[in-house]
Amino acid sequence: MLVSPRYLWLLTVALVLPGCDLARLDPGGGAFSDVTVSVRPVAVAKADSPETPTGADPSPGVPSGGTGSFSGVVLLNGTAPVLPPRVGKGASKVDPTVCAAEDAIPDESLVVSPTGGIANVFIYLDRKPSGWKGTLENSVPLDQLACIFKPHSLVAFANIPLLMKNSDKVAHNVQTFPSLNSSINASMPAGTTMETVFKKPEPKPFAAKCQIHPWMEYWTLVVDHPFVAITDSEGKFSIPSLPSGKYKFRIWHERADLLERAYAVEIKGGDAAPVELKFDVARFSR
Amino acid sequence: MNKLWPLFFMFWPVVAIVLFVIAPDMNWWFPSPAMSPLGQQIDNLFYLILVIVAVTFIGTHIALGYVLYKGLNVGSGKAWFSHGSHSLEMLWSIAPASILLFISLYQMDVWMSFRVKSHYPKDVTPIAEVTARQFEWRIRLPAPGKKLSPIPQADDLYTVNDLHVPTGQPVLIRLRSMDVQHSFFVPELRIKQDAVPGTVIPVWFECSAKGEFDLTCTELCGWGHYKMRGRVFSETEAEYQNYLINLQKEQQFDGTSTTEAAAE
Amino acid sequence: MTRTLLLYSLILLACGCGRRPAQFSLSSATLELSDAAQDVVREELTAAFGTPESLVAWQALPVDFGTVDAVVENVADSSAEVKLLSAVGSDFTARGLSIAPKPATESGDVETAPTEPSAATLITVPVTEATFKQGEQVALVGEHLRNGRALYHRHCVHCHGVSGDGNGPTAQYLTPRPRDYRRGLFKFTSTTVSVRPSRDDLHRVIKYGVPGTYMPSFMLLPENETREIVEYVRWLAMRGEYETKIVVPMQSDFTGNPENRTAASEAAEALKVFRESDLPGLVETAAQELSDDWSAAEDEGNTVLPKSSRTPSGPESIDRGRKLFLGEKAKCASCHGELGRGNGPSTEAFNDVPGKPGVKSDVPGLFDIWGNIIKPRNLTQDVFRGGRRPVDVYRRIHSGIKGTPMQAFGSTLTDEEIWDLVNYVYSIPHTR
Repeated sequence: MLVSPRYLWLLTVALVLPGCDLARLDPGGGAFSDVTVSVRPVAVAKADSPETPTGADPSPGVPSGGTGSFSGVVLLNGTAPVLPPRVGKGASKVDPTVCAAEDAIPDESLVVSPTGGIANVFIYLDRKPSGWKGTLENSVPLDQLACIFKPHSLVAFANIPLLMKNSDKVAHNVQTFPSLNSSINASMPAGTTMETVFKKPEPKPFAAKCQIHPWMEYWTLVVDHPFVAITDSEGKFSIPSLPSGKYKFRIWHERADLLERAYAVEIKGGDAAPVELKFDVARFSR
Repeated sequence: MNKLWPLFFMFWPVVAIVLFVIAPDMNWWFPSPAMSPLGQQIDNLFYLILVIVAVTFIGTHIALGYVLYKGLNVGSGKAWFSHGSHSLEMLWSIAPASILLFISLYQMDVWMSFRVKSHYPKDVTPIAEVTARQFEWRIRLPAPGKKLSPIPQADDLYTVNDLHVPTGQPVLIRLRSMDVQHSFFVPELRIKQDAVPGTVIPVWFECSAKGEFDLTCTELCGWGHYKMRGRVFSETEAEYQNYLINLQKEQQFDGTSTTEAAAE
Repeated sequence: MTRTLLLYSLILLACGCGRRPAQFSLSSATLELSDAAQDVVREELTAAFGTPESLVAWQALPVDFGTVDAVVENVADSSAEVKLLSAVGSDFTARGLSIAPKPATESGDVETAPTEPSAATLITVPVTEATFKQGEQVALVGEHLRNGRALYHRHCVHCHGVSGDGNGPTAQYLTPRPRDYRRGLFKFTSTTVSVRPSRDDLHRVIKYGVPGTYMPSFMLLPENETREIVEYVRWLAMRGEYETKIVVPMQSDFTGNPENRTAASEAAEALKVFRESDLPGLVETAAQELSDDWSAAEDEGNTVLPKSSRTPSGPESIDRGRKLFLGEKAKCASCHGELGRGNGPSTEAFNDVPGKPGVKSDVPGLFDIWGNIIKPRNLTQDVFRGGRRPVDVYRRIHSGIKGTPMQAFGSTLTDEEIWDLVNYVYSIPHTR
């Protein structure tokens, strides 16, 4: 009955009608639909106090009660995985006489000391404490040697040039992948130096690579204050001269991303007690 | 039979003829007069066939109308019975066949002059290699003063969608395709040639007057086929050489020369 | 009978009817935020840029929205009748536009009407903010934006997508994929590293296409139309960048990942505080940055121009270029291969998946910043995507190609060395 001639006309109509959307007869993409344009003026209503801190950093104001340091050690809870090297000895396809010629190139994405200390963990404030006025120093320069970036993690300061060196015998390249700054992709022949400037602080560390030697990688955090530390090979860190107040630190590692989003620390006119931060090894798996 | 049926069946052929007669005034005819000598010949063939067909059309429809009219008055009674007519069959086989044979022989030289390489004009010069691509026409020209080489040369000039040709002389383009079938169609010159991937097809034409002609793709080649258009500019020899020289200057712009700010 | 009718009604319902208006999409970074945070972002984006059916011309942006001068004739509650001043204005010119006070000229005074308003162009325009007096000179804002949007939706949307994300319906069939505007990065520019493309760069790409890709040439469109498309593309790029500038500072605190989230009530409070005290500052900074970045692109000081003329091509120049190509200083062969075929050793390495550092990709090869596999140019094919003029090839070498592994060699190679390389690159397709 469903396909009897009497109802075939109904079927045809039912199938054809939805296609005949007469309002859509314009040439595709809604090109001829009626569009209105409204105007938003330049000045947008501002809040009363744009300096009011929120989120990660509710420090109450200009330091009145002296400064103190925040220090401690970051430890791994569990057995550190043994990572295979990024390039075996003599196994490099690019520049084999220089890269991985004498030693294999290690995988530095998770460096754990025999005592369990995790290196290359960033501990930092999301934004500078309100009312803090100070100067920033130059950061540690970046170098490239034996086809490895040294150091693996570094801090750069907003609007202060970062010096990059190539002490290697082969040409390298530095390409950065920041979130809010402009990325650069510059070639660096052997023995040259270069300066780059990041204009804005970044919310998280970002990676940078060499495109010629794809295993070469390092991480940078851009901040506009000095209250940041990277754990050393023993996992130890220290942030001196923090004005008194309550802070929320972010703790970040390249494998685990944010380990702690808002780690609370209070400075009361003196050094805070050193802390021991332990994180499960499962958080560092990729 | 109802008397109106003959009228009904005669009405529509009359409408058809009327439409044909008024078509040129209503702009339902050719886009423009043929702008090339070959195009003129093709138009003449078209008109010849139109006349032959029109005569046949009118003749057969008068006969149909007569028969229908006569059939009105046939009442009941014995129908006229025919065993067929050998001579009639011969007539209406030989007459159309000879007309068709005549047409096919008559048009052959025009067809060959466009399609058969040995019948191309003797003095035709290759001026460009046109490569059809989804959805544009990439054109490679030789440097001013040089001849077009089948192998791309280091000093060749490249442009897209705009083909400039000198007026009044037969020119030849090497038609290629980079991906799928396209078709090089310039309606005002009455030329059309499929671009087949893997082949190089020589296409010649001659513009009889200066002007700007539409170039469209006329072989369905993908989602952008409808907008795959170009332009053929027919200009004097001097303007054409000037165009090549300017194109070369533009293409050699190295950022420092003060003579050419190019189309930045 | 009822069964039949039921079946056919089902078919009708399933097919649907009516138009589905176009909508801007949110970026993948935004979609990783919590739902409440996404609403905040969506609201702010709609306030600043609107929807494809009701655009917003935010005057803080360096976009030529297009203004039509008019004079107010009558003012009612929520609408005003204006007369267009320009002689060529038609009823369509001002359709859908909004009134804004006429911007002051450089001298600071508002010009008096120089000509009589044309009699036939009296139109009614809605008025939302500000009040206008009869006889006041006003500007109808948004003509170029509205026209650009219509042209973009006609010619560009099926590849580049409604939001300019390079993910329109046709995009899935194309390699290389259409450009994603939302980072503000465009490959073939005349500007230096880390500067946005200029209007002329975008116009050149639209006019001449990109040979070797699916981007066709739109030379046959009139120039005023292609210029309007350029403005709309810039506007879409700014929208994408604006979204990033708002979302990236929110990622740590308002992520949608349930493991990293704070308790719901705390998050709601934190979001409220963010919205009231942080967001306005972010908006203002973002607008200022967009204005600075995109205006810098028009600055002639940021255009890459060679200091010396091109060395005439010849065997010596080509030989020097070849030595540079294969040599240590530039290492072109590491990506482009020794014969320039685009198969250098770098293309055999397994790189990290973009966006996931440390996670190796399954396939070898280089990636661009948009996350696609990208092959170094096969120079033997005589295809130059960014243009084949000497200045174009010079720019590719001097400033690299933004968003790709092609580096900038401007600071390490001299002009003469770059010209030698250009001559060598030109010679590659013509030698065995």
